[in-house]
Amino acid sequence: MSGFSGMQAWLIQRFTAIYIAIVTVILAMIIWLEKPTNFQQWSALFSDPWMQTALSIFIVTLLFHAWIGLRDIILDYIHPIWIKMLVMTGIVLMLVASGFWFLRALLLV
Amino acid sequence: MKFNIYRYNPDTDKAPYVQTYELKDVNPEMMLLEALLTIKKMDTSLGFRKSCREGVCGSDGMNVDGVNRLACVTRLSELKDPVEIRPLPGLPVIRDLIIDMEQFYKQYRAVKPYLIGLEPEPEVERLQTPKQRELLDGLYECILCGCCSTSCPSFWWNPDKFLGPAALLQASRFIEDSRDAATVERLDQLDDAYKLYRCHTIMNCVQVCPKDLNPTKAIGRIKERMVQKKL
Repeated sequence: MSGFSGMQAWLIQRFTAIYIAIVTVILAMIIWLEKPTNFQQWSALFSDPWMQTALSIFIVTLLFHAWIGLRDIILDYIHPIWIKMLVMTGIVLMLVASGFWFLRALLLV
Repeated sequence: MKFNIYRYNPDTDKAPYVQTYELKDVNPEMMLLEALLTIKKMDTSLGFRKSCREGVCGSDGMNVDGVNRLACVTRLSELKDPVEIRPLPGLPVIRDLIIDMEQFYKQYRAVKPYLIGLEPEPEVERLQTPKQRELLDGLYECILCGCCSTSCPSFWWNPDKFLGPAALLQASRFIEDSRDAATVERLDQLDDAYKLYRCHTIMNCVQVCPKDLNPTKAIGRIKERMVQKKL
């Protein structure tokens, strides 16, 4: 019902955390070094194919990471099965929608 | 010295209440269990479990000043006055400080705490190298007092699905045992969202264990074994 076995979820959470941490630091460094100030500079920065690839993977890992974290909270605290399913479905829809929104933004720059 | 003790008799009391007892001229080197036994002479209706009175049987686990511990190995000099005494939290109260540990034992039984698949039966004893035996140190010493599992928030929320630190320590004890032939089955059994993975490394179990064991480390070792098995 949670989509993953216990170990899969645990491993995915850890590996995605590593990727998210690394990309966040690199991204912060790039922005700090490039100091983009207007839309053209921001756009140029994010239309680089390396950046696009890294960020596409980033959003997928981020969504998986968020899903496992939220799923943990739900499994801990929400016990009635119907409410649990309802909340989980709502969260999945929200996460998938955010993923598409982010990818669309990335493609449009 | 004053003792504020949780009292509840479901047959006669509508709700639990706290009763205060006072002992005069207590020896600070006395153990809390001795104090409780003295109180019981004054008020025979007070209910609590005890047996070996030396931290071996694990009967007299209780919540003392907010921390789960064994009354028989807790010196009065370690405690402030008044002492707040409650039953172990998270399990149903039968009477006063006596709790119903059935849920705890159910999770213990669920990990099959015995050697499995010992075939063929050897002529003499089943030998282990000193190194294999060393792996069981810190795992086999558990006395099942329940202090750890009843201090674990994950066990409070899901006592029926999450095995709890005590049972997981036992699971690790048999997973690590070189003489056990069911390691793979044991690991597979634990690989779901609840049994093992509701542990969020809160480590209350480590803090309260009267035998100074480390269930959190044992849980980490089970996770390691699971990953090794997958690879």
